[in-house]
Amino acid sequence: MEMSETAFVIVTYVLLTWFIVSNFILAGYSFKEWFVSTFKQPKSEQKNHQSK
Amino acid sequence: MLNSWIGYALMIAFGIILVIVSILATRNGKKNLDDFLSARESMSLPMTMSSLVVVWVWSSSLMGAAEGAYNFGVAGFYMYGISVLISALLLGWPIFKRVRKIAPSISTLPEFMKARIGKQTHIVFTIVGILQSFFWAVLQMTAIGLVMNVLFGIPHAASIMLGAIIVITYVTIGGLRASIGTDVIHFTMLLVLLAIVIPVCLWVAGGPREIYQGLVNSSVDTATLLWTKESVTGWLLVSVLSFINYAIIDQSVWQRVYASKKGSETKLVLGTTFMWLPIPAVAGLMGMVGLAQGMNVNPSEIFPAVVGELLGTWGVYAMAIIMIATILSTTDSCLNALSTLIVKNIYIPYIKKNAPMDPNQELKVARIVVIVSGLAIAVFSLGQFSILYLNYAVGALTLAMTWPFVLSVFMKKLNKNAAYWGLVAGTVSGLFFAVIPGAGLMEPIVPLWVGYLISHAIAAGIPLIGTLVAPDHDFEFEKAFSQGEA
Repeated sequence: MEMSETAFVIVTYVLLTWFIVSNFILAGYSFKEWFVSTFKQPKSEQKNHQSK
Repeated sequence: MLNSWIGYALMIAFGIILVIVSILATRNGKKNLDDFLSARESMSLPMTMSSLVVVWVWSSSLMGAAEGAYNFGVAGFYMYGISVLISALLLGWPIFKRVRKIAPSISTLPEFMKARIGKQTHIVFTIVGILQSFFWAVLQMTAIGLVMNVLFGIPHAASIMLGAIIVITYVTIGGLRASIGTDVIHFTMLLVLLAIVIPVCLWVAGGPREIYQGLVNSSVDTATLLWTKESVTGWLLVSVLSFINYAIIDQSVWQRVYASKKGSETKLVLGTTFMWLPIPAVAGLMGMVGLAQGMNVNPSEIFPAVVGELLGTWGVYAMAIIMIATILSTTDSCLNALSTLIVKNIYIPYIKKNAPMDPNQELKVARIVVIVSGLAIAVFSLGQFSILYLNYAVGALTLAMTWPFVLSVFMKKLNKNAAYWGLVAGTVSGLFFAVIPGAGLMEPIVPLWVGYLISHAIAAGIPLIGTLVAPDHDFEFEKAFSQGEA
């Protein structure tokens, strides 16, 4: 089955949009989660500070 | 060729960033072996998902997809990705949902098989799992030696040793947490660069309409056909049959599934598949650009060749960073998987005989295993083995594990002896029909895809027939996995 020129153009733009939008959303969420989990103080340490 | 000192500087900069990230990643972890090897249920869904995406995006997803599209044209939009889609939907999703429910305390595939089928099968799964992780890491290290040599003129051995030192250092510091934490950085870096490089290449090549016209006038007469007999038998069937177990056999995937929160398996497997699918498809576009432009290069080098030709020096730098990020992220996952398999399936059950150990001592042993395994990978990579051979050999080696495992998850009455002999016979047939001819060491008796099919049929047929003829008693999953299978 032959792919027409119009179909090729549509598929190209759909794939680029799918790739960029979905993965940037995931990158944003995962970077936020990484930042929070890395720089958030562990609960045990927070309790220690509060008790002092 | 670019200045070699810039190549060294790039790798060292990567090393410094990754070591800092891994130190930060360990801050909130527990200081015990289970956390070091499996980070059980402690990582968020977006982090494990992005980590799994980069585990699946190894050099072959970019270079291999582009190579296929360069050879076959528009079939490159879907022929690489469809194998992983099938693997994830038909096997990965239902299996991880069930395995996680019935065996929540394990963290490796051989541990599951030991409790389900027995010691002999456990040994085969452990050996093949170790070989798979080891040779995939060797493949990645060999690739970094080639890439840094081609782009920067850095001696093969120097890149391999530098790359190995970087990976060993951060995995030794943080174990799986470091691997997943650095994967988030790799994922972001990879995404940003690919999101710039690919659209700019398409624009410089004249846009989609111009590329399509180039395909129509290219040296491949069937470049605009979605399938041909050649593309189906030479690419699609080989890809589907060799990657059908992609989502379930690799220990790196198991570790990320067990590191995520329980109950999130569906979102993790399906979400990762959704995020990953467009990546080989847009990489395939680069192969189509090369074909449309009439470029005459080694097909396996078409992706970097297109970037270098259309974008010049900055494109080559971007390509170097993409390749370093891709290779290091896969290598650290393999090293982590390898050390987990060795500690959990050899050291603890056979050397320590499951005797209780001091947590600090356990961690020390795991770190020593990481260092020794990493150095062994580096030394082996210096041999500069054929990447193509390793790819075929490792892929075909794991084929026969698929069906004994899948059937053991769902069939309570599975005949254990038949499952074991299906595994053995399937592995031997895989070597004979797929590995050796695939490596070019012997004339193929049948086409490669038929060789893969025979291996699958034997590995699935023997357990099924054995179970029909002489079914075992109902296997009590809950009881077996609550008794401490490891």
